[in-house]
Amino acid sequence: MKISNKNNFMKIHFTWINWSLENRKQIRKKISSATEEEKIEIAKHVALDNMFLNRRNNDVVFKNIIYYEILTNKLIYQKLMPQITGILSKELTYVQEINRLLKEGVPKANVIFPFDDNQTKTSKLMGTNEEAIQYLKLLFQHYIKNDDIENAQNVKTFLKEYISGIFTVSDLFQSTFVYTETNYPLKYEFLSRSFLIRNIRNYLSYDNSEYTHQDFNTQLSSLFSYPLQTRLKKLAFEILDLEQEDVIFSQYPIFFNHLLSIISLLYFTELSITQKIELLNSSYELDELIELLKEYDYEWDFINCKFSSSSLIKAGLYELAYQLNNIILQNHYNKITDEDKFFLYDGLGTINRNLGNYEKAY
Amino acid sequence: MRKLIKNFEEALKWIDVASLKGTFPRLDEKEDHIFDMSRLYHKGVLLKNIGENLGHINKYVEMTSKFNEVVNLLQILENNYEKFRLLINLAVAYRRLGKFEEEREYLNKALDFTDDTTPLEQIEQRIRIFEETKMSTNKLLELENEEKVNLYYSSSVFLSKINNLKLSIAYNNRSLKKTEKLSNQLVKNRFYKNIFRNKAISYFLLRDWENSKENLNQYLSIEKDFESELYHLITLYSTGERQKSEQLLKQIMAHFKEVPNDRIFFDNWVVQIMNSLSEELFLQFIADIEKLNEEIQELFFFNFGNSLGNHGFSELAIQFFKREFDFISDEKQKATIYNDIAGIYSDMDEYESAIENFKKALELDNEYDLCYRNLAEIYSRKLDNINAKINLEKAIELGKIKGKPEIKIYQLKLKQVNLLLKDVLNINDIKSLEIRNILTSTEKKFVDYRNMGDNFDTSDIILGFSRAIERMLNEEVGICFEPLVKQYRQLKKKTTDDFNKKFNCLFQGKSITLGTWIRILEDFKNDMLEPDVREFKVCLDSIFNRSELDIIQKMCELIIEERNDVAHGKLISIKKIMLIRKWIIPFLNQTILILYGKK
Repeated sequence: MKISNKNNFMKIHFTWINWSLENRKQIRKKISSATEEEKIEIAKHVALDNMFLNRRNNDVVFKNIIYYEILTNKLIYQKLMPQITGILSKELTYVQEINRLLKEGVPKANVIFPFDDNQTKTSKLMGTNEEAIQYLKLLFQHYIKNDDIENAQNVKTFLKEYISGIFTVSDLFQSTFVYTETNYPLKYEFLSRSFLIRNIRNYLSYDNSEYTHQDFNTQLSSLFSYPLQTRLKKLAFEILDLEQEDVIFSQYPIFFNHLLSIISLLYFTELSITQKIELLNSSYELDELIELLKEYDYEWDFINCKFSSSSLIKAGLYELAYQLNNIILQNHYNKITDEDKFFLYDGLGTINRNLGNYEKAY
Repeated sequence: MRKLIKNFEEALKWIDVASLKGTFPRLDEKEDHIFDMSRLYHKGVLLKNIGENLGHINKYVEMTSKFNEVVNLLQILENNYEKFRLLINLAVAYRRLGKFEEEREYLNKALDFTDDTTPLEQIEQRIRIFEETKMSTNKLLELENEEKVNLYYSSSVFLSKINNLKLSIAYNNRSLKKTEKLSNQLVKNRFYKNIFRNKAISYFLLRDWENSKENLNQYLSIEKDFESELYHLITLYSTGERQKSEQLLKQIMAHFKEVPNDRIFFDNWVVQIMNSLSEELFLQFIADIEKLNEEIQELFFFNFGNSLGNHGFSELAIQFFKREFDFISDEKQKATIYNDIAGIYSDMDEYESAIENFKKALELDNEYDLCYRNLAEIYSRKLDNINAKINLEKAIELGKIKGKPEIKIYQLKLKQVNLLLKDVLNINDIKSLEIRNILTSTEKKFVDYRNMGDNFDTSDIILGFSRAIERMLNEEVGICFEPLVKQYRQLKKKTTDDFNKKFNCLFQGKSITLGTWIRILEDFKNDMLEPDVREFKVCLDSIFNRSELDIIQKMCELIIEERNDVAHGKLISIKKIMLIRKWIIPFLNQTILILYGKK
């Protein structure tokens, strides 16, 4: 599908959208040949997947735990990476696009740490993404023009989600294109809603469309997104046969953020309904996350940890920041620079002073 | 393990090492001078920190020396903002040491270096506090303590928002401890109630019912808040406090009755109940409702049914709606219950049950305009536009009599239905999903183009119709030739040229084109046929009569004429399409009836 040249869209921006559309298409395909019982199962799965995306949007520890699981569980890692390889191989046009970007001196991302912009189906953040909306509109028109009703229908419902910020299970079950309110099965929407209320602990807290503390979440999510992103970058360079100097690609975090969202959702979709419920009903806390860092000794990035530490201090979570600084000093003392040591000790001193441990702080 | 004491001293060592190596701070290499200033500022803050800590451990001589070093740095710093920040840092350090006069002195000094970017308001507020309290040390200490309570409390709120509930409780506990040290009872209560509520909700979300209940009790002893009472009731059920829960339930239901505005909480409350209570406790809860007086029960069953319906608990919702019949004798009210029940069936796509209940409602109240409208909606979903129209017209008629503003919406809907009725295709009778899809999308395009005005080429509508018709003929008519094709293939029968022109494609696994269909149907009118062709004609005649085949042929001819124009690049305007469609739809509907009605 070529719509990018004319409208100057960058394919890199739409990795999540393109993957999601394909994913939804597969779900719709399954639905079309499913028995009634199977359809209800699919509705439950889809509703749980959306809860997962919401949870990782609001719960930075949960998000990191998923990254950690993918990074450290060999079986899972080996299962997911080929799928990502598949996505990358399919998108070979990125290479041309990157070359064009390099030539044109396209704006680089203004972020120095790899933020993880939350890709969810119901996020309001997505609703304001005008570029994505325009892209979906053009896709819709393209499919309509080519009489491709199935794809047009798929894009139309996804577009509706982007604009309204509301995810509706029944959208995936809508069988015909015309007369929208006719063949629109509400049943699956209501069935999945009651299923979630009965099974997902604290259902109402997922229904929060106000994403507060984005800075904190963004910075903390990098604790384990960084190592995963490092591996994804390496993979992308290998598959797309890029030179490491192709800095724009590596500085274009949105592409890798999309891959992070995709790999996380892929991890979740591999689970059974019972496993999904169990995972969503588990609670994870910041101190457990910091504990995990103690054990983790692979890819390492001090800048992210430094940002995370100052975020914790800002939030008044001194002990956690203290633990984080200590982990860096204990595990990575020889890898960090002199000024980093200054920052870490200064941070430790501030924490101790704020906790009233003046002797230690001094 | 590395010894981690004397952090600031260690930091001082590393800032000096980094400065010597020229690696700190890491900014733009070209502007060395600015770096130097920034490094000096950082060093100043660090020296201030060291001095402050010396003060905390009562080493005042050393403290003064460090602070003097900071003041000396101020002379070298060039940037006013950095000077300002350093002076504020010193002021805060003095405050932390309880030396408020020095704090004020440094705050005043900082004011000399302010510009548009400095947070003047905060500084001025701080100085105001000095004036207002007349430098009362006790008052300032109290404010310091409040700040600490606030700090812990804010962290706990923050943690609960990011789902770190256990940590949130821990921070609330710290905040609680600090609150106990405050002397002002009013301030204390303000903190207590916030802390207790926050803790209660965190425990609630962790399903620690006992602790949640206890904290809610504490909170509610300071302040009554209806939403918290709703949480409280769930904790009472979950901890088996039978008597208290019954009593609170009574109060809550009475409150709902007296303060209708608070029913906005009802929906979320129902979700909480369904989300938190086990099946057994839920039944207990219902049993308790049944002990309440009838008026309250009715209110409950209605609202609860509604909320359950909204959240997909359809069977339960219907049960509750049906319970309402016990409390009412008025037929019109009963009709509304049937209407609600039908609404639930409609949400579950159980159209027949929905229609049955809407009709029951209308039997009891034949002036129930909303119900007619709802019934029309269901018919419309079933693509039964005739019944949709009848019921909408009735709704409009009644709405007009009652002077209801909603009739405007009914009228709009009727307009839509009329449009569909005017030249609507019997798409529903077509068995093949693919053909249905082709035709529905073609129709959708037609509606879209009509809304877009005159300037568009609408030839794809012609292509849509011709594709659908071609497929329809191959699937429903061409299929009758299958046994003959099989037979011819097995016997390797020699066929005539005319036969090959007409049917060769079937032997190649292909379908017959629209043009060939017209030729076949036209030639089949003739009795002088080659034997092999005649054999196929007999086969077709055994299924369709001549007039049926004439209708099919006419339809094909109508469409192929336009399609050929399109194939030769001719553009077709919406006006032309509207004309063509008028002719095609009746023939197409009859063809659908012929092809699918027989089965």
